[in-house]
Amino acid sequence: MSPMDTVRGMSPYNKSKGLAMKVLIIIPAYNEEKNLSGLLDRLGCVCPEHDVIVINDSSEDNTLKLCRERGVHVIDLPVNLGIGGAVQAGYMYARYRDYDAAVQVDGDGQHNPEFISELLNELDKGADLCIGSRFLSKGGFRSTGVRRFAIRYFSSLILLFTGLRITDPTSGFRACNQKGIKLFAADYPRDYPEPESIVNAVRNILNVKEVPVIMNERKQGRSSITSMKSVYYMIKVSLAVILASFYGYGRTEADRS
Amino acid sequence: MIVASLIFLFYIVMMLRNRKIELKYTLAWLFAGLCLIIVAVFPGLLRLLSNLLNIVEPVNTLFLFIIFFLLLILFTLTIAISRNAIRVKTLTQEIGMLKMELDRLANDKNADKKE
Repeated sequence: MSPMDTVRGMSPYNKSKGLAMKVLIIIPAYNEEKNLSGLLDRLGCVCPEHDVIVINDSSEDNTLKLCRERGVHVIDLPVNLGIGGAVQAGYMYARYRDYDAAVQVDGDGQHNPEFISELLNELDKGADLCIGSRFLSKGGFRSTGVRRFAIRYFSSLILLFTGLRITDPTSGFRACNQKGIKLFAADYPRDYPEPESIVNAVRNILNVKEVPVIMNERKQGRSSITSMKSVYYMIKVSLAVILASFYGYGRTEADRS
Repeated sequence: MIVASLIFLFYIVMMLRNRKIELKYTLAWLFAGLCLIIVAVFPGLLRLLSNLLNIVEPVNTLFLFIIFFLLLILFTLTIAISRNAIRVKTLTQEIGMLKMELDRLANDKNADKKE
């Protein structure tokens, strides 16, 4: 290993495979002009070897302009699809361009790019989908009271229906290999997608793992989940998780493609 | 009632002729309209049906069938809307990707020109 490689910040994922894996970083962004710039800066520092794609979910602010100015590739959705539809567009692109792995990073700066290499490392060890969990690690931002309760509730729901212990089912910081890309490109839930997509992945015999990450509190703007919507959120996700647990749900769609 | 159902049917047919609605979604409405006319012309049919179903008031039979039809039509509409929503989503994603590819091509072209 030459010093040059370490300077360029080769991730462990690349080292062990010998040749560089094509990794796509998917950033869904809705009105994130204030947070996005910092995130892109840090991505450029930590992992310049990965391709980055921002999915602009028809933001009303200057998200698109910012990306254009910085020369980042943007999928500009003409109609607002919500987080699920935006992320799925990213996976569709990853599949279209035949990427080896895709990493999903929220555009609000909650996720530290430093941990991307650890997520990818886990894929290397045989996981198909690797989720960054803020509860496996010490420190960092751990969400507020009510939300933590909701997270624990989803966690036990998933444990009940899949037998898998996921400590942070609402985490949108995740990496997956081609198997995962294929599944998510064909079938990804539309709103509040994270817990449901985990169950979906398990049902499609994907190997799901978690690694500890440290998250930040969002810097600017509001989270997409407001208190008014939280009741709908709980009910919708519960139903979706239960539905997704039935054998065959979502499977056929993924098989067809 | 005969007049009302005739107007109703006439309206549907007019909409169809003006291509404002698709025949696919109006079959149920047309069928319901026809049934209404038949019942309106021959009220005896409704009484016969009520006797068969052990319903005392014939008008309740009418309500029963109307509600059944409405539920059926509503549910078909839910299916149609869901399908359209999925189509719109996929189309939006594809358009987003196309726009990006287009940008990329344009950028490449500009870069070539400068060289």
